[in-house]
Amino acid sequence: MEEKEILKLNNISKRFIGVQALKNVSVGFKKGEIHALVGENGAGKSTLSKIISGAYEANTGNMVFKGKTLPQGNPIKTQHLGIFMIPQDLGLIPRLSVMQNIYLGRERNKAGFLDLRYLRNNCEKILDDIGIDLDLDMEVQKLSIDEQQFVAIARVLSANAELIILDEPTATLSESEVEKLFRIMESLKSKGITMIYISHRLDEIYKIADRVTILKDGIHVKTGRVADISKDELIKNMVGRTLSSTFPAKRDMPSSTRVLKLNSVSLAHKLHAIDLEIMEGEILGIGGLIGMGQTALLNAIYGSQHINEGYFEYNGERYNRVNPAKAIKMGITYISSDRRGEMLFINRSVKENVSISTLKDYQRAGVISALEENRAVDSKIKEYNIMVSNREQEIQFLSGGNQQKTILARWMIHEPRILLLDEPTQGIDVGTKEDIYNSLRDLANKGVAIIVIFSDMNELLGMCDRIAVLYEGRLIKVFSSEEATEEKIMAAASDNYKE
Amino acid sequence: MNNKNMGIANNNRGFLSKFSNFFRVGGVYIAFVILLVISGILSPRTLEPLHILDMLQNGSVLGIIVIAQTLLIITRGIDLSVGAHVILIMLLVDGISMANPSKTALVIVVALAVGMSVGLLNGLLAVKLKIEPLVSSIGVMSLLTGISFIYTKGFGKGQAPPFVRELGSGQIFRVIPISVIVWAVLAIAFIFILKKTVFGRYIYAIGSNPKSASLVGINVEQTAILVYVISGLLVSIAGILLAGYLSNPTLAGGETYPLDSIAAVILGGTTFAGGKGGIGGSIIGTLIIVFLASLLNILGLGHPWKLIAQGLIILVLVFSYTGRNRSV
Repeated sequence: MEEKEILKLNNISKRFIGVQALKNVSVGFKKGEIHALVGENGAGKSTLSKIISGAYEANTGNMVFKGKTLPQGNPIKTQHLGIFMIPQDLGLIPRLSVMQNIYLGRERNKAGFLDLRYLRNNCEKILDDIGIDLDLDMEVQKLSIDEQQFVAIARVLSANAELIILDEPTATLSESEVEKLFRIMESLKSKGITMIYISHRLDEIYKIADRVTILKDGIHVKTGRVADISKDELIKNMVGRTLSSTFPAKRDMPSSTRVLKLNSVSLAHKLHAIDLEIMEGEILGIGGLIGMGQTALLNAIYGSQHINEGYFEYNGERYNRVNPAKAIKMGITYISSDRRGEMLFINRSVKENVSISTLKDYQRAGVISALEENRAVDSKIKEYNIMVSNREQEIQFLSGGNQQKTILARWMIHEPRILLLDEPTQGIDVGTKEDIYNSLRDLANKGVAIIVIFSDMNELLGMCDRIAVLYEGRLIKVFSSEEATEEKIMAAASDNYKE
Repeated sequence: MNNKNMGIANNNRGFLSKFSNFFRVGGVYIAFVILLVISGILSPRTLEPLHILDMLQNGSVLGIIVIAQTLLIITRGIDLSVGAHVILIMLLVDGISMANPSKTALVIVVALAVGMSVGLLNGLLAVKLKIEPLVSSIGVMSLLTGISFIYTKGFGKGQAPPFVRELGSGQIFRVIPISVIVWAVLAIAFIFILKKTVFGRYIYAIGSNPKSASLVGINVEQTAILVYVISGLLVSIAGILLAGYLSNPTLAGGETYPLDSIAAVILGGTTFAGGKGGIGGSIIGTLIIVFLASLLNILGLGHPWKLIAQGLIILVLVFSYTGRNRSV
């Protein structure tokens, strides 16, 4: 070790309810290095950054920063010591000016008045130092994304940052903007500032980082110089665990009846010319790193977002514009990953939550037949094993798993031909997860075509008959269940797949 | 983790939690009974049937406006223009008919049409243009008041035709006020619509979670605007009754309706969060406001004391409701 370590983590562990997010992670960060942090979705990258930046407290372990123990669970104290995290959304105030954002919360004053001259001079100096030219009085919302990023960086520099955690800073940047950001990172590095760089883009890691730490399932796999680790080795180290949950058997023969076909479907900034076929009775998994257009794909099919190019073929008909009401009529239903925000009527009863989309079936002249409605709801409560004291219970008092089953029940009354699901097992206990796996497979066996987003590799490999991997809104590859391996999926997910 | 902490905090609430539980079952009903008991003790004659019927007749205009306000608040809307609206309808009915029986049908049609148009305007502003309804309906309120002044040149003129007067101040069997019957029929109709019809379910759904509602295929905007139009219609019915109740039209007197109607809705347990509540509670809320005013009047305490008492009751009840929501 030629350089001295500015921050050392010793045996950091963190448990959330039911999940061990980090297990005995020990890693050191050297002064003035750019240290990449990589791993799959859920590997523990963000938990680790949040512990370092003070947002979380570790259950065990300690951290040493510049020879002193770093306090935990107190972001303000951590920031005073010079450690900052720049989140993906940057945390700027859109309506305030560049200068106001840089000094927000730390405005220097003279006798109660802002010392504007001092603030302005200082801002200019900081921006000059890193080679950025910005109008200090411009509202931040009028800046481009990369310029906003520079403001966020200037903001932490003005607070004397010594260690900066950058959470996927390049996710929303174009190639030339990335180059600019890297130049700034190099200049920060030359000033002795340490950066922890979280990114899914492996190419960029090779371009900018000095060392890399790989996390997998909360375990520290490896830390080493980027130059010493090949890309294949990197991917191999990020994946490669054994399947833990029990999944129902997959279908034995590939289906031959096509239900839906997407023809170069595009959605502004989110999907680019997607061609995809969905077959009757199959579970098609949508994989990829988080935020690569998976959710947009389901929304495009459901009509909750309108596509700007391409068309769908369904039931022998072509269409390119649809809305949820029409989609439901056509036999397409959708379960969002945001249960509370987009699916549930949280202060209404289980009964109403189940029947809301099928009320037209139990009504005469607009009046609901309580008898028919109750019968339909009760049979679904039983079929999906929803734990509820009675159908009039408010849905907010049910567990996440039972809420999810309620939504599934809602859509199943329609007997849909296509079921779209976004992370259907998110925030659900293990037992109920298996119920949901089994329900999905049952439906597929009955001929329903299921398109499901899983960010969890286990679920993707364990549940799906085919796996389509997206990267930045493009369909990289569709794997059959036989050819799919974690390595291949991970390679496709980071746009490094080669036949 | 968070839930756990909140649970502990809730257990520690002790007295407050019990207080809130006490009201959980039906705070507004309990409050109403307490008011009746106090009223009976302080002034026994307030509980005589004739006096009660009189109060109900007094309250029927407000009562119908409260139905409209309830529908709106369930869908996360609100309407502060109800007072100006009800006065404009009254002025139109009196001014157009000039007590002429042959114009009865005409004024009723005009009143209902104006009512629905005002509702549509409020709906378009709040739903299509997405202006905060608290603000847009203040604008509409000002608009309607101005129109009333221009129409009357500052002085109410004319009188309602006999049929309308009968509706507003007549009685069946010389006892039961017709306006109370109109109120009761509308209340029952809307209780039925909210509880038993698809439209009623959609009203709760768009109030509970508009995003979920649109994803299950409900036309959220259309439903919300329709609720505004229906509310406008209800307010115009209230305006027709008011025209029949007051022998001389006046430009003043509408100011209390917005706050009184919202107070009645909130007392009745319908929350601003949307998707929760109903007409039943709102009716009791209306009765509390009407009975309270009458009791204080009999005790020789005027309008200021009515406002203070009303304010206290609202604060206590709303505290008990939010106390219970916070524990969730």
